[in-house]
Amino acid sequence: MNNSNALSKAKKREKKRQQVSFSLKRSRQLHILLIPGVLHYIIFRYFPMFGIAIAFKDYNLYAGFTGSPWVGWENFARVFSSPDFILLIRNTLLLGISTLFWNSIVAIFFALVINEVRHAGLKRMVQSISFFPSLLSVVVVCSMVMDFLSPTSGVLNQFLASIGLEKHYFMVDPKWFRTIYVTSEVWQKFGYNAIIYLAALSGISSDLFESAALDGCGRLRRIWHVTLPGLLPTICTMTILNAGSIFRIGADKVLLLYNPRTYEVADIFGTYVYRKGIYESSFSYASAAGLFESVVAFIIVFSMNKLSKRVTENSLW
Amino acid sequence: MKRKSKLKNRIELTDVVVFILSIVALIIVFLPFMNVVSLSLSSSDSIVKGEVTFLPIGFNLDSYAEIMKTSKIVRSYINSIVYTVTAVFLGLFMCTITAYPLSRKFMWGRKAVVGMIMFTMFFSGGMIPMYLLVQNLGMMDTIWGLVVPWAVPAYELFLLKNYFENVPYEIYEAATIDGASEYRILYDVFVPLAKPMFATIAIFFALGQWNSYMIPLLYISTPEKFPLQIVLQQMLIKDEARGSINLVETSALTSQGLKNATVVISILPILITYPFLQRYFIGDLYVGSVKG
Repeated sequence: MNNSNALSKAKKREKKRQQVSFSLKRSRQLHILLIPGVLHYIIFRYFPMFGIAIAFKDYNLYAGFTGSPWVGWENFARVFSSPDFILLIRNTLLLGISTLFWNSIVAIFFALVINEVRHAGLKRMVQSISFFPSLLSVVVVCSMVMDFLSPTSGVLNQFLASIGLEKHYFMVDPKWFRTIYVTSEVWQKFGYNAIIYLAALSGISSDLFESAALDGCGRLRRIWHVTLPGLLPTICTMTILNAGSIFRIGADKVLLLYNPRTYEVADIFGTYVYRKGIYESSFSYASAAGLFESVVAFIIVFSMNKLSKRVTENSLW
Repeated sequence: MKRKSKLKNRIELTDVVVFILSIVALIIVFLPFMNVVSLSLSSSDSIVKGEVTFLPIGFNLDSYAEIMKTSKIVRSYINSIVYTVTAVFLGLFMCTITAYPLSRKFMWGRKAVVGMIMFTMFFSGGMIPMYLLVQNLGMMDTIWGLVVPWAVPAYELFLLKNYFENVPYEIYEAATIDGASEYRILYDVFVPLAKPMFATIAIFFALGQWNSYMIPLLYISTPEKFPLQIVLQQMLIKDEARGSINLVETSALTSQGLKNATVVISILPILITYPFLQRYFIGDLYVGSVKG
């Protein structure tokens, strides 16, 4: 009894050792495969993170990274005290929030409408066509926007002229910038954004609809009492997760759509860093502004994710 | 039962509204494209006069003929193709050799590496340090500056890793018992199994590179190396600069036909491959979200 017990123990130990040697040998091969990827991450993701130290230096090209003198928080002090700073925060937040708001509203509404289409062919066609613009590049979309709003040949101004209104140069009018940005964003992304809601809608049990119908609920009331509540968890999750990125608007689109006359409403951290850093070569100053943006964005993503975990039990990580 | 079928067949007011709304959505998506195509096919005269809306006026193919003659556009088109193909192959290769080890649960140090990669999804050094790094590595103004720093994005990497993880363990075990090395298993077993996922990731890389504009704007300075998107962007800026100097400057507008023809040919590859894109792109988005 004792003997066999010891024997099985020895066997177990032997097996364990085999497993360890197996995974050691296998791990070594896997590690070799992993080397390029890990090196890539160290060089192209972690190096720049340390490179951010130039935000605390007075970087100039001739002295190089190590030769440039340390200046502590001076660059940050200059960023925070710059008259642009408040404007940048306001523009970044306003653009981020209004984009998030309208993107969600239109996508949810569109998903609800598509969900009610009974003809399967029409449904598929509307879906696949509305998805297409999301594959276009920002440059193409901005080109469409500019042509559409062109003061001389644009469709919109032709229309305004035909009903007897004055032509308007929308692209240089600060009042219109945000509307133009958000509308084109919604036009490009609503089909794409609706996909997740449509998927959630197809998950709602049809029993609920049928029993509601038998109880004499009309279509609209069914949408209100069955569909929408069924969609609510997805709406919550998506809104919270997307809210994480309101501070992270890409500079590319604004860069294409803005011009000096609309800077006051259009300039965001991304474009500011680009202009100061790449155009004016104030690398240290631009890095300080960029680091501030990254940190705020990180805090927002992090806390939104915490919130999402608590409210909806879904999270990014 | 009878009531239910009646309910399904009766056309209500809601159906009419829904039908109208979906047609409106289709029109809203379509009209800007109609405008682009019309501008590319119209005579420059009618464009300048502001007559072109959603149908070509003074139909001609001059703009497209001009594209063929403009070496700048032709060259940038070829450049874009070269950059895209390179990005796809390099990206697929790097993602495969990185995702596979991370999908083997027993590998030592797996969690640390996954964590290290995940962190970069939420925090980055930003534009300037990356710019200086690319400069210091001598990748400025080369194809490598466009492709290498973005060869292993975390999102694509994790997609592939999850796919590899879902391959039944028995298949892997059988291969190890046969004495195959990890390299062999990856090449002969996992790569053929993951073809649909490769298609999806290849689309991500291809679309990303084809549409990329900010990165070449930062890293490419020689006009001969410009990708299509940069050439397009320059046409936009030229239009706008002239427009803001003088609202009715006519010479700015004659290029509009050419610009829109360039837009059309830049969209063409996406349009042609759209059925394929949809199958692997939306399909995966759908399945992923339903499961989740």
